[in-house]
Amino acid sequence: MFNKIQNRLLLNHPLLWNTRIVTALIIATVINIIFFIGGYIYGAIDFTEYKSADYYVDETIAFVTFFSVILSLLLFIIWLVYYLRNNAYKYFYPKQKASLYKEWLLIFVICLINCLYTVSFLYGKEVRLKGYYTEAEALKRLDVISKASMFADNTWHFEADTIINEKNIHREYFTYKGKKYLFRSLVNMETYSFSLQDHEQDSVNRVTVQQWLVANKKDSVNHVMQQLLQIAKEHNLKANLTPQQWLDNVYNYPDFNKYLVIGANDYAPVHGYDYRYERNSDLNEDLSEYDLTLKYDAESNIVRIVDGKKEIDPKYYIPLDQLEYAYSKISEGWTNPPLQPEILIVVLYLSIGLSLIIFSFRVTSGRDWLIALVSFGVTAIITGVVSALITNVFFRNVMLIDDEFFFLTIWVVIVLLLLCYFIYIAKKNASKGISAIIINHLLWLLPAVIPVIAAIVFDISKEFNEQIPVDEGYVTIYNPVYLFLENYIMLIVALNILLVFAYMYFFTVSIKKWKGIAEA
Amino acid sequence: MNEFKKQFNEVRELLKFDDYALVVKRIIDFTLDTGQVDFYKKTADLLDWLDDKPNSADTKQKLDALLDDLYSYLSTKPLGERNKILEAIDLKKAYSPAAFALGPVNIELFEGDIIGLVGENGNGKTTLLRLLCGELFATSGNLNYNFKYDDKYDRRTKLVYIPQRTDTWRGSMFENLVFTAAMYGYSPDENHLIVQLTIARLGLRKYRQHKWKDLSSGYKMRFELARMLLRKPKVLLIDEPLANLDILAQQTVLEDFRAIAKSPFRPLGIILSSQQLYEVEKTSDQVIFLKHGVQKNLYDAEAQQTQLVIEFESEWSQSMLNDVLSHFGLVSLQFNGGTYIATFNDATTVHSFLQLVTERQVPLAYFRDISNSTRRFFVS
Repeated sequence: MFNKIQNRLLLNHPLLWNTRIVTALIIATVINIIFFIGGYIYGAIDFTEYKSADYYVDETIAFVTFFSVILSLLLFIIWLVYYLRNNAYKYFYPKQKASLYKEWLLIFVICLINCLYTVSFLYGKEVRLKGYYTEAEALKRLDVISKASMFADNTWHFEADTIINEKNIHREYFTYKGKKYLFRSLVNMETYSFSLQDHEQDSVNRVTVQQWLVANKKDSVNHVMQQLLQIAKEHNLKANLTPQQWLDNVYNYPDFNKYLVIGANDYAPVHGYDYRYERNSDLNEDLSEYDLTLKYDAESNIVRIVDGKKEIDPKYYIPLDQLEYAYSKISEGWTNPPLQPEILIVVLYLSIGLSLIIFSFRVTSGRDWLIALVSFGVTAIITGVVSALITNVFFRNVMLIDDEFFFLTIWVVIVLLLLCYFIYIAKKNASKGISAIIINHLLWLLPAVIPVIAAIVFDISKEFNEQIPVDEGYVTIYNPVYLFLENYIMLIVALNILLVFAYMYFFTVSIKKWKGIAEA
Repeated sequence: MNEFKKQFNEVRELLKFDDYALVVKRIIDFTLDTGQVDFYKKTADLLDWLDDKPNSADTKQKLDALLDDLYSYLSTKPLGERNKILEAIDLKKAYSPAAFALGPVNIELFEGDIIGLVGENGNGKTTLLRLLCGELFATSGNLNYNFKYDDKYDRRTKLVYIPQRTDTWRGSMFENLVFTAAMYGYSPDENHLIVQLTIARLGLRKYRQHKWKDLSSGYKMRFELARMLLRKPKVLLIDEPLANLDILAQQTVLEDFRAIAKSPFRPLGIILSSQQLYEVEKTSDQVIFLKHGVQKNLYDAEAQQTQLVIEFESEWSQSMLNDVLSHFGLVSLQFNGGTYIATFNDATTVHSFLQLVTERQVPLAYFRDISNSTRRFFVS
């Protein structure tokens, strides 16, 4: 099939044949699809999974990235072997004005698709996570879990404590809607929160349940319990009580002091979690006011002696931990998707960089390319040392910018000078001189000029922010340039990509004309 | 009789003497002259038939029939004009004040003409070719190209320069030539046909799928010529094309150059450099001798040689020869690399020289009248 396509392209579109774009795209697309499927599978949620108590880093993404880099390199090498077989430009075959631009775009497309493997994986994961439920349905379910979490093994709302004279006063009672409740009352229970829920919704869920309790809306509570156990059932998660039993064991109007702790999972003892950690703040604490064991009903729960210690397991449990763990992943899928815009910008810049490195080799020669690389390295070392000496030794007190930004400033000037040299050579009716090497430098460095200038201006503008003393502290008055760049620097970096595509048209047209200039 | 009819009659003569190989080459030339896909197909079919039946008794008849067809089409086609395509006026190239300098060189190249560049190594032949193709820029003088171009790159697409050491290419020969044809705008219908004809024209048919590393130097040069033909250049500049060829191949390639340049419908200007003086002189319309960058033209009216200059080899010593020849208008006798160069006054002719050596029984191993050859520039 590939041969047939290639033969057709050779006769009809020799540039497409030469770049092997169709073959490269088909292979790279297949690999991207495989990575996407991999990400989709990886993104699957195991609703029966418990949150691990151990802190661990998921190395899957790192492994996928490493593997995709190796695969990309391998495919690049194979593609380059075929691509570099023929070079119409080198032999002065007729080319249209924009032919080199088209060729660079083709190289860019190949580089881009060959750099997308990890992105495809992440996107597959994102699609899987978002594919479970629509955003509205996910929110609805998260609200059910949040509301129901007040009726299971959970923490109390510690804002009920009061801080007086920097001392944390733990109170046994708190007042809500004009009624006094015990601190450990069900009315003071916390709710689970998820990233998809905004902060207000988080509070609304808790207040809603509190109001049901105060107004004795038993049916509403029962409905939430039913909904939660229905969700659990959908995911084949088990609870060892019915909604009615759950309600009966926890609902105790009007004070809600007597309730059986319903386990949030089927394995952890009620006191498996030391609540005192929650209260370990910088403030002076007095834990003696609370008898934590009050929370537990030893009669209604299961009491066991493990290693000589009393352990109280809840008699009833619901799979709340599993639901919270699974649905927090769904929630993250919406609020913090694996595929971030920053990743796309990085991939775009990486593809532009790679395509320009290959293109520069293509339009000059291996020798010029290598000399350009070595001269770039040597100049970078020299300018690095010079900028460090100037900013840190000779003009330490007068420099507005750090040595790294001074280094970048030198390079911006160098690139602009190189550009002037290229224009001079292109206009002059003589020899190419060293312009082949300079073209390499310009192709590699020009895309970075605008972002680097923005970074330098941003760094300098910091110096013009004013610190104004107000009362006992300071208020910073930011200068407008600083504020603008702080807000828009990422946009500038993104828009610079468009600029690169725009100027490359004119640059490639000039490079084609430049090729006709005498060598010596 | 126009140029086409003259050439066509020569081919008929070749066919009469069963010189099929040459006839096929010329048929391909005529076929390419038609610019018609139908003829490309006919000739390509004939080539396939010849491959299948190399010794068939019908060969002559087949060739004859195709020649008739070609004649009926081409005899009505207008001939190509032979304009001045390139002119160099007082062209100079100096690398640095102290180093070698070429020029001033004056050249006029017409379509259909071949100019030979000869001279010792390091005397500016390659520099001149590179100047003419634009690979080097001239320190002074003018270089005029009589064809349209948009920019210097576009100009280079119409000037084919083949250096002595050609670049390595990758992939099969056929694939490379198809790519070249596609880049030069041949339609998909004619691409493969024209490449097949070009390959056959240069005797590369058996090597179609060969790669660069599989070809000898001679065939690499033929590949370059095939590629050049597909590029339809205005001017072909070629450096030492005979350098790696055996004597038979040299003659074949030079004959190919001549046929390509003198095409009645697609005449091409060729400038080639070579050390093979006599072969180049036979083929070229003008021969330029370069010594220390200074130009001497073989066929300049001012430089026409009136003295007789004979190159010969003899086992006699220089003084014995001098004794014999000095009485017959000998101006000088030089011994150079195993051969003698004898210059006589304008009263002496080649026949009187031969008569003398016969009468005096001077032993001769080799003899050539170089009065009108650049060979004399090498020794003067």
